[in-house]
Parts: sequence; C-alpha cells; structure tokens
Amino acid sequence: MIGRFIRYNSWAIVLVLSLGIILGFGAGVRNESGRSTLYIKDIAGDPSVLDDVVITGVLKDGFHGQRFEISGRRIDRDFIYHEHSRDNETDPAGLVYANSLYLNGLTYIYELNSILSPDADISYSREEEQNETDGQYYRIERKKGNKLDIYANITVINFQGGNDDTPKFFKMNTGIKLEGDDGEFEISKKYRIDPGNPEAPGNSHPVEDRSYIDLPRPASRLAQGLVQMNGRIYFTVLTTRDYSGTNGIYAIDRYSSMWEMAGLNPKETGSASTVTNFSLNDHDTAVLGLEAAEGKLILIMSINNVLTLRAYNPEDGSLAGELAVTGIKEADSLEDYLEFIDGNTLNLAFKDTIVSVGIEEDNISLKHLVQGIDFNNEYLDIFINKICEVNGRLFIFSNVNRRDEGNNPIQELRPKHFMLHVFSGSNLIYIGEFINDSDEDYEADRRRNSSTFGYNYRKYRQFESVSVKGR
Amino acid sequence: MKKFYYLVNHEFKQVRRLLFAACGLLIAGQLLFMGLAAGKQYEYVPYEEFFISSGSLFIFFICFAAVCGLCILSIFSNYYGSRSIYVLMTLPQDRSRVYYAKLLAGLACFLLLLASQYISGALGYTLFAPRIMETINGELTFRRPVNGLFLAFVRHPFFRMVLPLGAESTLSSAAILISFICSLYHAVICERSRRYYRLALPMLNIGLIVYITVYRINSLSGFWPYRNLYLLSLAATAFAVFLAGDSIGLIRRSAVV
Repeated sequence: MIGRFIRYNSWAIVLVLSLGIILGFGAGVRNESGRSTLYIKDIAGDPSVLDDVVITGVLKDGFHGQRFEISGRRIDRDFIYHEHSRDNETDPAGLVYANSLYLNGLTYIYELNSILSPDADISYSREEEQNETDGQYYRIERKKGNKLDIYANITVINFQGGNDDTPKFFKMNTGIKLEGDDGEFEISKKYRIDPGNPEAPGNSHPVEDRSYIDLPRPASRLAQGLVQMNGRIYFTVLTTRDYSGTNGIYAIDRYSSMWEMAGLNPKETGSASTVTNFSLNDHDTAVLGLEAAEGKLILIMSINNVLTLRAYNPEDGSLAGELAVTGIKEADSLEDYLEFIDGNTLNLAFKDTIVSVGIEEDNISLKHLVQGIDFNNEYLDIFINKICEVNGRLFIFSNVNRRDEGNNPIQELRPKHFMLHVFSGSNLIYIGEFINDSDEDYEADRRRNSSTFGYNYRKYRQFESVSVKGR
Repeated sequence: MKKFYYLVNHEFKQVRRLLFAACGLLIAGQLLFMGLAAGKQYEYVPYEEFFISSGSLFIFFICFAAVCGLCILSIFSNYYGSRSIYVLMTLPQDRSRVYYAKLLAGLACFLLLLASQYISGALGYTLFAPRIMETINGELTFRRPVNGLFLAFVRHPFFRMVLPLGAESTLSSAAILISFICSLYHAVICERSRRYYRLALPMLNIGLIVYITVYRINSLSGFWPYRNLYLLSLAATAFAVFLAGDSIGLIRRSAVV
C-alpha cells in the first residue's frame, strides 16, 4: 500500500521533501547567525555606567555583519547579509587616511612640496663619472641652497571613475620658509651621457631625479591638516618649530583642470582665500592639525609645548575661542592623532593622551583629559576605534593586544580584544570587554603563520560604526 | 489535473532511480573525500576551505552534470525503444502539458540535488570539520568554531550560490535554476526538431546565467561595478519564459516528432 503510494506520487514526494529540506535548512542556517557570542564582560569599575546609555554598532566581515544595540544589559541583534560590494562599504567616519581626505567619492590628496627659495644662497655643481658596474658615463647636476619655500599641493581624483571634472589641481606658495645651513638642502639630477656624441638625445633626459626634499613634520599624517566644512575644503600646513614665515588657514576657491595644467606645470594653480594668518617667526609654534566642529575651524597647535586649540569663525577668520590644555605628560611629543567629532564635542586621541573638548559659540572648554587607558601596563598595542561623550562621561572603544598574548611576530594575528573604557573627567570609572567570536577568524592564519600583510577587513570580523547615545 | 499529475510522475519515474543514485553519490562521495582529507588535516582551517580543498566541489559538479544528463535522457528516451513520443503527442490533452511535465520533473531533480548538497554539507561539518585546538587548564582540547557551518555558507561563493541568505541573491539563484532548466530543455527540443540555428537562444541564456554567476562570485571583491540582481533575475526569468514559450510552440507544431 505504502509502496504503491510512493510509486504513484514519487515526484510530488521528492519535490515537497526537497523544498522542505531547502527551506528548513536555509531558515536553520540563517537562525544560526544569532548564536554567535556577543556581550559586554565587566572587567573593572561600576557597570551601572552603562544603564543610561545605548551602545550601537556592527560586528562585520566582508560577507556579513551583526548589527547590535546594547541597552543596559539587553542586546538586540540584526543579521546583515552582504550581496554587493557596496553593502560592505566601511563607515567613512572610521577610515583613517594618511595623506588624503575621502568625501562623496572624491579623494583629496594633500602633499607638501618645497623648492629652493629664490632669495636663498644657491650653489651649482656638475660632475661627470663612469660607473664601474655598467661602464656607462653619467653627468650629475647638483643644486644646493640654504632656504626652502613650502608649497601646498592638493589633487582631487575620482578613483571610482565617472564623468566629472576630475582630476583637478591646486598648488599654492604658502609663504612658509624652512631655513638651514649653507648648502643643507640639495637637489640633483643624473643623466646618462655618451661622451663621444654630445648631441645624443639621451644626454638631456635625467635617469635619476632627486628633487624631493624630506620636510620635517610634526605628524606623519598630513591629512590632519585638511578638512571639509559646509562643502568647502580648508587646509593648514603642518609645521614644526623649525619653520618661519606665515602659516594660516586657507579655503580653496578654485581648482585648475588637467587641461589648464597640460604641459605647463606651473608653480601655483587654482586659488584660495585666507581665513586667518599667524606668524611662525618666534619658532615656538608647531601646527598639528585642523578640525571642523560646530561650524568652527579648530586649529590644533603646540605652543611652547602646550597643546593649544584655537577656534575660528570660517566666515571672517575671527577668533571664537582658545584653550591651552596644561598638565599633559610628555606634551612635547604630541604628534599624530585621530579625531572623533560628535556634535559639539571634539575628541582627539594622541598616542598616550585623549583630549575631549566642547566647542561652543564663543568658547572652547576642556571636558576630559585622559592620560592613557593602560594603567596596569597590560596592553602591547592600542588602536582607538571610537570616542563618544555622553551624559558627562567619556566612552573610549579600542582594539587592544594584550602584552601576555603578544608573542606572535605577525602583529595582525595577535589576539585582539575590543575594550570599552569609561572616564569621568580624568578618572577611569569602568572597563568592559566585548566578548565575541571574531578571534576564531584568525586561528587558521595563526596556524599557518601566514601574514595577510595588514588588517584583512574581508576575512576577519571587526567592530565598526560604534556609537553611544543617552537613553 | 489528475492526468497532468500522472504525466509528471511518468516523466519522473523514468529517471528517479538514476537520480537517487546521483544524489547518493553526491553525499557518499563528498563524505568520502572529506573523510580522506580529514585524515591529512592536522591544523585548523575554516570548514569552507576544508570542503573545497577536499575536492568535494568536484563531486558536486559531476553530479550536477549527471542530473543534466538525466533531464536530456528523459526526452531522448521517448525516441528509442517503444518510441513513446508518438503516444505523448497523441494524448487527449494540450501538448504543452507534456512540456510542463518534463519541466516540473526536471525541477524536482535539481531541487533534490540541492537538498542532497545541504545534507552532505551539514553531515560533512558534523563528522569531519577541522577543530580549533585549545589548551584549557593544561589540557589539550579540540572544539568546533562557534557558527562554523553558518560562516561557511555565508563566506564561500559556492555555498552562497546554493544557499543564498539575502532576498536579492535568493531570487537570483532561483532565476538561474529555472532559466537553466528551460535552456537545457529548449536546446534538446531544438535538436530533436532539427532547428539547429535556434540553439543560439539557449546559448545566449546560458551566457546570461554565466554572467550573473560570475558577478555573484565576484560581487564582494570590490573590483566589480554594482549590478542590480533583481533586474538580472528578471531578465533571466523573462528569457526562460520566452524559451518555454518557444519550446511549447515547437511541441505543438509536432516539430519534435
């Protein structure tokens, strides 16, 4: 009876069974996404600091993500399935570029160049030599001077392609000079020559051009000096105390097109207006960066080894507030920083110091000064992910490598811990760790000892777009 | 309706034994390959890497080809032996039902193959998936990663194709399957009716399917520009409907006899 039933309905049984397995299995696998581990483990301090806030964010790799919302001790999660590359775009706010700014699909590349100043003492030399290795004859032309003019170059490129007016260029003589000893700055060109034929075409084409002079900088990340506000690009020049002349904040008005530049390579192109100027001649000021918050341009400086923030109104360049942050240990070594802007709060994370300031209409005030988060010397590396200021407390999220787990020579394969440190003023009041399974993503590469040559955002899950709001 | 039901069952009956054999081969073959690979796997690798490196994907493609062969066989068998094509063409019902019956039987075959792949993937994970080695309180322990099977289905392009977890991808995979089956039957019907020039149509549709598949495999690489999968799925489905209509036209005109 049953055999007969199966024989006469085999296709329907197979179809229903197959669909049942497919749908059931699909639902089961999808349901598995919620089985991953995610909670905050209290390490130290008072956990009640989390009671009146909501922490949101995403734990994701290149293929999927878990959007989470932690409200008090309750965790809600959503599964995100990436179907296109654009589903996996990294939150632009979390990206840190060395020398460029990425805005609305356009990349603004910022460079500082120098040329020997026209009023410098310049000497020329020229020598010819035969290379022992290749037997060729070379002519080397050297130009030495004691003074450089600093030029700011900004190039706008659309790397994604598109029918726009990029690339476009901006070059400006900043009015900043770098003075050195006689002949300290040298540029040279090397030509391969044919001694028997002075007219040979190769004689006038350099095979080596050393026109670039490595300029002293207060920070390696030049992008700290480039910012966008209300659709305009503003920049300042990162300078150490070695520079002289006049620095300032400039707003770019116009770029030159590729066609205007074609074949001319002018020293200056495009145009900019000056928001404000200040002198570097006292050699007491290092300019560390420029930020934009609450409609103000904030110049980050070190004046006489004191971190100083000045707020300017972009319309007229008037000073809207100044704050000198005293009490920073090793204030003379402040250099690279990461900025986190949340409404009217500007948070700056230097290597061992975090400064949180409030930007008001005509004032800047210090909210929190944190001199490091590693009080027990537990961490080998600290990568600040996000800083938020909520209800008078400073929430610092970071990826850390622990010192006792740091024996893997490949940095990115060391176990990472996503930590939350909460401060009130300068006092640490809570430490928590986001316990999750992302460490398992590294396990295979650890066993193989294979480096991915940098952090692999596609392969390894990571926290992104983390944010804190009051409840 | 009852006649149609019997007709589908008749079509399915012709291939079911071979289909069960192919699905059995898929599960047994993949488990055998994974079992052999597990014996040589001393370090932890994610399950998707283990599955691919074991050669199990090769078994899937063999079985997929076998199921394609069964679908072709279900038409060709009507021309040999009792030459049942004449019976089918003279049944007291619309000839399009013969086509639909074959299509439905073919769909059941491919769905069973997919279901077998899921079963094989889950069994392989349970039995052979590499485990993470840990030392807890001085004792060496081995444990499965949390969510390992889920991550395999989310991260590997093959698993993402056979079990998509997003609406756009699900629609795309369904469109690919239906479109492929329609192309396969259309190609065989063209051959049987000696309309060789019309073979260009299923070829074109297969080209579209390959394009969608290649995009799906590379869609997260960051190097491929965005393509709307809803539109591509709609195009593939529309093409499949056209091919089905053309196939029915050929059957109705007795071109296949």
